[in-house]
Amino acid sequence: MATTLLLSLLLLLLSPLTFSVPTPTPTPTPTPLVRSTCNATTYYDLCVASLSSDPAAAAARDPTALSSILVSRAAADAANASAAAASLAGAAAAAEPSAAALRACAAKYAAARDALGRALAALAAAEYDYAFVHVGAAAEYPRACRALFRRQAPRLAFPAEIARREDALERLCTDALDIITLLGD
Amino acid sequence: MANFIEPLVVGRVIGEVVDLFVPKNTMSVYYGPKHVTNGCDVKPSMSVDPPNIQIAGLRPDLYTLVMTDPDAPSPSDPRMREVVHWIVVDIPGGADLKEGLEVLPYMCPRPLLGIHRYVFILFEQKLPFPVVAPMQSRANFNTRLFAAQYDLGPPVSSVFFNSQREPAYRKH
Repeated sequence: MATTLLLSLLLLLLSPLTFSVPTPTPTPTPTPLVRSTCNATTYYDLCVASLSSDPAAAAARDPTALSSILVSRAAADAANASAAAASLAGAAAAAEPSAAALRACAAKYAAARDALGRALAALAAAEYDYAFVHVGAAAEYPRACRALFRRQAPRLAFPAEIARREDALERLCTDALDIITLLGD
Repeated sequence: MANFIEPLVVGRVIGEVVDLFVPKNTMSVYYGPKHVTNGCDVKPSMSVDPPNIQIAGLRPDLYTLVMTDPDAPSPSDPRMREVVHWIVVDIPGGADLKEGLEVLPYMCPRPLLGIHRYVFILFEQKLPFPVVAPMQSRANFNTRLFAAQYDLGPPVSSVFFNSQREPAYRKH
């Protein structure tokens, strides 16, 4: 009986721990508009995931609204990449070649952010051709950052953190371009 | 000289992008194994990365290269003429373009409608290039005005290729 009482007490003590594990937030189901629009993109899964994570996508009524959401997301990613590059530059010794390259990368990603900002304005004005050019321009800046490292002699190692952000931003811009291509058709 | 200029006249590069000029230098442009000659076709998938460009001439001469699309968004309605794709300055004569200073990163061709011309124009600089203010937009660029603004004089060489949208194949 003492054992049973002890076990009961133990169970009582452990139960808050057992039932306090947070349940993961379910991913919203993509709307039919999100699915059909993302079906025209190169990276379908990325498109769906990026849009589904934004509450505004659920209320979007046309692909233009979805393109704006993706471009906004890309602009935020570009801004974060710029900050990350600047932070890495600050952590490196001032005289190191990588510090100069990282500072230049921070400027490239900032330029990408600005270009995406202009793309948003063009989308708002229904100037889809201009939006296309601005997003296309933004998509090239990450590559220019990588080229800076490649051209150094001896060649500098490209930071994995920036490489990850480069890949993500390029894919997002590609999907944004795919959607903008649909607009005005 | 006529053999060099005529394709540029027929292709309306002379007239719509630059004025008539006397070629004084040569440049060779390659996208991978593809040698770009006036009016040749280059698929967008082949031009994703910047081309290899070798410029004739001698150091310490310096050159500026501009790549531009005068047919954006479409040849029948080029209201965005020109969209500038690439600007590299301070390229030493006789050198590879990589030795120059890239003031505007290469933006690969993405023609949406129709067949676009993509034009490379080479200028000889009188002085090392001054600091270029960041461009707000690549659209509605004007090669003539750019050359005048930076005192580049007439072009010394030019070559263009045609490109059109490739069909997209989706996995789903």
